[in-house]
Amino acid sequence: MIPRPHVDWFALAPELMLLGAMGFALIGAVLLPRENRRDFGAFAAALGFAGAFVYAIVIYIHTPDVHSVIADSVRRDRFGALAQVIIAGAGLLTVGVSYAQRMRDEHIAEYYALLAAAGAGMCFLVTANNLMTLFLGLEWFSISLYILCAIDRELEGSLEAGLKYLIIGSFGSAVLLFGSALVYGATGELAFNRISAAIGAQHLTGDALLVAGLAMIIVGLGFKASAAPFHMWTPDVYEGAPTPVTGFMAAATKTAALVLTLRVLRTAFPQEAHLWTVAIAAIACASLAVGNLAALVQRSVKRMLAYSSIAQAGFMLIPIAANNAIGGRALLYYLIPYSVMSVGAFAVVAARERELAAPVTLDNLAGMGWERPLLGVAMCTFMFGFAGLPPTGGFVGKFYAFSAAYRHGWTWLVIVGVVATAVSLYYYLAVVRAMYMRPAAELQLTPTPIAAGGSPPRDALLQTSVLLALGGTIASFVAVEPLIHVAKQAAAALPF
Amino acid sequence: MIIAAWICLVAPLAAALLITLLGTGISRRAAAYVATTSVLGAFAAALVVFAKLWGESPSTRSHPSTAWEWLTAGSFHVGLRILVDPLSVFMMLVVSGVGFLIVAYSIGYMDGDDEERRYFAYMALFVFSMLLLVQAGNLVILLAGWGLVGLSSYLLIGFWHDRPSAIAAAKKAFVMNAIGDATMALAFFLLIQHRQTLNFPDAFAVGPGHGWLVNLVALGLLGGAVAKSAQLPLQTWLPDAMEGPTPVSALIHAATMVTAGVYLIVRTHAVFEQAPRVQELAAGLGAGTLLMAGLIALVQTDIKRVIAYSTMSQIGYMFLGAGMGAYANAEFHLMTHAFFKALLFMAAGLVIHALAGEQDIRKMGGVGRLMPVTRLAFLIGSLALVGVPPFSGFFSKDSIIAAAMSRGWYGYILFAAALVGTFLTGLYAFRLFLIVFPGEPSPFVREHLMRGSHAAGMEGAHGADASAPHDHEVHAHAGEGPFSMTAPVLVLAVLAVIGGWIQFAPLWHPVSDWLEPVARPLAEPTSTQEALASLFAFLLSLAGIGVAWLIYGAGRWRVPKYAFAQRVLEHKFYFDEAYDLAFYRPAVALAKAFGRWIEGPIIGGSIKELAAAVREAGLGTGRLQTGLVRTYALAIAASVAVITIVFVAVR
Repeated sequence: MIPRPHVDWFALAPELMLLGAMGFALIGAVLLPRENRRDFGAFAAALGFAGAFVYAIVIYIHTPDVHSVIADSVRRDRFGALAQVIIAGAGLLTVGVSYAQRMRDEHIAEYYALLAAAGAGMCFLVTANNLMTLFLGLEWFSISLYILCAIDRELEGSLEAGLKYLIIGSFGSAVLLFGSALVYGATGELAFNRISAAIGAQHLTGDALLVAGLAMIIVGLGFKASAAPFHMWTPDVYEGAPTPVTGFMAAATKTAALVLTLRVLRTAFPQEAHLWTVAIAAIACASLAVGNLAALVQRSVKRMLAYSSIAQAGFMLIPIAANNAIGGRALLYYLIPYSVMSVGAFAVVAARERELAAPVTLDNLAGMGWERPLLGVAMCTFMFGFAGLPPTGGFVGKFYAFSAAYRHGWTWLVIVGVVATAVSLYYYLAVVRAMYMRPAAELQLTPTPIAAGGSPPRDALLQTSVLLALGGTIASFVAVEPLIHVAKQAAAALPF
Repeated sequence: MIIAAWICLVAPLAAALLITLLGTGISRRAAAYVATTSVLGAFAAALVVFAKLWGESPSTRSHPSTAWEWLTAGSFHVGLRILVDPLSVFMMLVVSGVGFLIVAYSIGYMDGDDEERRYFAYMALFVFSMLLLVQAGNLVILLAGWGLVGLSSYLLIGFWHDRPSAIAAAKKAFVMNAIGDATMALAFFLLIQHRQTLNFPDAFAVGPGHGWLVNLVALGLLGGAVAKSAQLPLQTWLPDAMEGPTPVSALIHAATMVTAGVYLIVRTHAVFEQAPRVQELAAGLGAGTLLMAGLIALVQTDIKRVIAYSTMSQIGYMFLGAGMGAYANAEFHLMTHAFFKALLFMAAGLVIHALAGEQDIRKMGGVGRLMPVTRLAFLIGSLALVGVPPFSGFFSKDSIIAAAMSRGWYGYILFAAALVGTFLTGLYAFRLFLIVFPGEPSPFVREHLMRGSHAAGMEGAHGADASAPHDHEVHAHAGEGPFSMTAPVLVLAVLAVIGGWIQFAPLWHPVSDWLEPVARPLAEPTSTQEALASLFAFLLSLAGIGVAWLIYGAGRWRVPKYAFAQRVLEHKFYFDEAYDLAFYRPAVALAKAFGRWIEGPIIGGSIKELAAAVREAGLGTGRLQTGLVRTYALAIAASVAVITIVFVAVR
């Protein structure tokens, strides 16, 4: 009889919820009449994300210690559980934003099935504890996202975005896989903690194969987090993909990639910290520079937000580079406001897109703050949050990220971050200016006939999602204390 | 009890938010009632807190309460924390009690104004801010309350925003206060850095042996106090602030906000006691202000400005008391002053209201015959202000003067100044009363009051927006105003008479006993000193009243003519001109020079260059973005190569 490893099914509950949701949505796609598929799919996906959200919280509460789940290939700990909460929350908001997206009914149930599948992959990835599960999780959600980007065939650029993402993404995955192979070759181990143990036991520090493999893993993960100089796909894909998908990618993909980066570097390669801290800091600076500079000259809001997300990745790499407990805390805390702000900001863009039936630019945002008070106030808050101004969680997040770098002794990195923040104010506030300080009469695009008979009806689900994101942005500022405590406990699961 | 304190704090805020959010969904009258009810609720809650605290033993009367902890770093807590202790309850009662009467009075005063809702939202916001200030349990909340009262004061002074003078006055008040806010904030930062805590009273417990630090902190706090309380040298904003509606002057610029400086000194007395020179400076500034303001009040011709200078002068007494360490006496005078000064303002408001917004006393005369209730109220207020027994000012002011006697030679100088001040008080207070009220009605008064109506009144008062006509009913009191206006005035008149009786220093002193656990007094005058001070003060104030009567009442003496003195006083000792010359003009000249020689060629040029470079860099990054997959793959491949080679090289 083949010995079977003990499986802690409860630890996999978030993934299983989402996989179940995916299955239901797919069955609905086949069996239900066309007009019911949208509701059914959205409902199934929402239920799946809500279930994953709740289960992840329950796992967080009931996992004070670290457990291994399937023969040490997956970890059950608070670090992963908190990341799952963030991913599931972003997914739930995305379902609300997607509901009224004008997409043909034909494949709408598959859309929600893929969304749930991508969420499941990310939830799996953040708990991965060996190089195999790492790659598995990465491909799992990436393939789902490739299709999601291209799913709206009527949207100009959607197919192109999907194809570009597929090709470049495969390239990135290949680099990651090759790096993993090199590390395995050097150490003979797959599990993160055993890699570290093997490096210690066999005195492999500085081994050429090992460090080359490490470099490639960093590149592969940096690609998924869309950090510079692996970022070039980001603006094209973000712009071409359906806007709710873009929001989901900006929030959840980045969360998964960054959280896993911290886990793998900290668990598998603590002995190589002298190399990767510098590399991550350099990548952070490159991302800050490229993201901020390119965002300055964009007119398209989606493209501007894409570059802004590159810059934000740079900000969130700072605490990883700091390689200390306060850095882990800062990253996990910052991801909470960052992910809700991302989904929220793209949701506002989606709403405007639907109103105008045209891509949103800074010019045709004019007057939106007065026409749509809720969306206007929310967008302002998100922009303030990205720029790191109170009263948003972005303020506290940046503060903690910088203090982590300062604690590490890298004052120069803090200075780079502060300068980047100052530059970023220009384009974030440009959005506020466009929405409030220009009369709507300046609108360059006449609204299409859809809006001719009055503005389109309010989209209650989207507005609810935006409201929730707004609430999250401000609540993460107000409730700093409990959230930092949660992040601290989560970061304690890593061996700092 | 703590819950009552929170209700007291939150009720006015809720009213302000409600009126703001409902917008036009609420009638003007309803907005007024919402604001009034909320302040009444706050007063009731404050009474409950007071009753509960009264029942406790004096040593345990201090209850901090934290609603929500924002940030914790070790032992350093930042949160929404209030402190209920005898001092804060005392202030809560004064603020919400007098505040209620004044907001109720506003219902009649503001009736028919186009923006009544905005007015009442601001008033409720102000009461909330003031309560936040006095209930604050840590430095951050105190600073927040301090800033918010400044903001609401700015909004209310400039309430009639179509009058350029109101806007200018609001700006002036804000700028003057900003100086004080800045020094106070700096003092707080020093304290936080030194004490590592924000919480009262630990934050102020600076032990001995920190000479320069504690002096710096005390100076910073004093800067905040003199700005908010319109004392030398930051006093010039208060007279201009009279551009606001009269109830605003009564509430903010007489009864509550301007006395916040006194509260601050009493609250932070532990710091001042470590810096005795600075505390003496506070007393000296108070004495200087009370003399200066008393002199200027002699020549003012605007009814509200006379009262404004008298406010400045009376706060000078409170500063003198607090600076001498007679904290309870200063707070006691703060309370009685709130009664009689609010009374004077509101009685003056009745006159202004009846005379279609006219504030020039040269046009008034003989108002009393047509407005007997107002005359009585004003007379009571004036007697209380001057300190004639048994009116309230007598009890509170004399104990401050007596306290000065117990503090050595410096005390005697201040004592002398305070006594001269009582003479001036008698003179200017009765000059005002005798010009405005007794005698035959002047033609101007006759014209307005004999008609028995003031239909055109509010339009005249509110400047240009006379477009909306509204018919006031003919009031029964020949123009003395509706019941909602006269009733608060009468209540305050009663308080101005009996409010002082709760403490008569030689015999009974419940106020001092009540505040003793918070601020132990440094000055304890003997009974002889009390008696002497009272005697001198009484005689001198009678002399002041007598001179006023001889000049303005009986007409026996003529107004003495000293052209130079008159010119100096009419220009308020040239403070405005001096500040203009010393700060405004050089600043403008410097700014222009900078603009011409530095900003344009150097900074502007470099910014332009920098902006162009950044833009160029941005476009450059954009050019790398070819849209071609092979470029992207190449970038990744190149970076893999670079990182790998670097890693292998430096491993």
